[in-house]
Amino acid sequence: MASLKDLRNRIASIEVTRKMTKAMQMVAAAKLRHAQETASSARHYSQKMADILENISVDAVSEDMSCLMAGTGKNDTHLVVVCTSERGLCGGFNMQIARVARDFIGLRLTEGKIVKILTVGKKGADILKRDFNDLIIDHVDLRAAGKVDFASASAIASKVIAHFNADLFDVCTLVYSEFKSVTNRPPVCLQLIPLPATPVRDRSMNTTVSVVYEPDIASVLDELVSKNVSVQIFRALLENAAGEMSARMSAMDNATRNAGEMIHKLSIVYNRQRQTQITTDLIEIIAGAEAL
Amino acid sequence: MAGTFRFELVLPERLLFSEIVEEVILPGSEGYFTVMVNHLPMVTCVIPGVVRVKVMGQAEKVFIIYGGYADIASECCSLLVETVVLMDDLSLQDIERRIVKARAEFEKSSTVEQHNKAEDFLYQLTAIRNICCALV
Repeated sequence: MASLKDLRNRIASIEVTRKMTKAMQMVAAAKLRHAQETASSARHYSQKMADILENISVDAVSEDMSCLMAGTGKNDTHLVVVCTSERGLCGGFNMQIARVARDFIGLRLTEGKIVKILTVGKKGADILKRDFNDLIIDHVDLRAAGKVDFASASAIASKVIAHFNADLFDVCTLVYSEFKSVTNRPPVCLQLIPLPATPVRDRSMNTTVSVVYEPDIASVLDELVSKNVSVQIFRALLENAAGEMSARMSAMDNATRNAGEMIHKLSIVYNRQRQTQITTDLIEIIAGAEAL
Repeated sequence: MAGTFRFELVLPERLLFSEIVEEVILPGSEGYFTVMVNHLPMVTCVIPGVVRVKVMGQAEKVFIIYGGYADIASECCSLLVETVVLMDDLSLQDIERRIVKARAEFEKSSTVEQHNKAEDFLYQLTAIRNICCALV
């Protein structure tokens, strides 16, 4: 049985842990608000980009399509870009993304496809290394950048496009956590290359005025599709950042609550033991007095 | 009074500028052109250059951009760019730094396509520097 001093030390130690988790929860809540604002501000660009691409895909014929849009025409080699966080202490956030990535990779491997993995974020890389160490071809560390910016996303996109141009893969899929709400952040797989076909709107819905493309539709499409890869990766990184903060906030809230419960339980044990010791001391004193 | 339309300047991180304007001059891939209300619907790549925005009842706003896309409709014009600098905040050192970087890219380009692209970009940056030197 633990002594009173041990119990006191343990309660004090858990109290310190509770203060730390409470502070981390508050920091995560503040960062989450910022991450949510950033993600929502960034939607203008991706929305505009999606609108332009949708309009162009209505007007474009197959000859205009860039390689990134049409793909290589094969489906043999897959590149899976797995985006996770750089830091832990965020519950099952990274594990959930890694699980979806693992299932996706497993499915492709059973189909007989060749799979290559590009990891973004240390935590996902650590998890995937256990099962697919030989499949990981590259890793991007975002700790140096500090925060998610478009330049980091563009650097990742450049790597992906360079691999595509070197004919190293046919299909590229991005795995990340889509931030829907603080409690809902499902991991999703999004195909980046070739660009999934958007549902073609009825041409009769369009205005009679045709859109002019400068210098020409193929050049515009070529530039836009390669930029779209950066935009999609940037969006994934921002959604991941918001998801990570919300997961950390929930995890720290749980940890704070658990620490509180533990302190309560230990305090009861401590008080009971203290009471027992006082009673024992009193009995000993009384017994001693009676013996005299 | 000239008609007006909405002009939006969109960065990947945020919507930087969204106002009702009279006219906008953009550096298109085929040269500078002016967008006014009821412009022909158009999607164009814009090259590094100077964007001039005439807002109703205000002084002309001048931005420096380093390439992007413009989506023009009759009542709205959206300009999607990665980097933008307001003329008042312009730093010639920043342009010089970009020119040095572009020159390095140009020198290490291996294929003809890369070489031509890097050369065009370097030429456009130099043109911006010359314009900015004249304006400052």
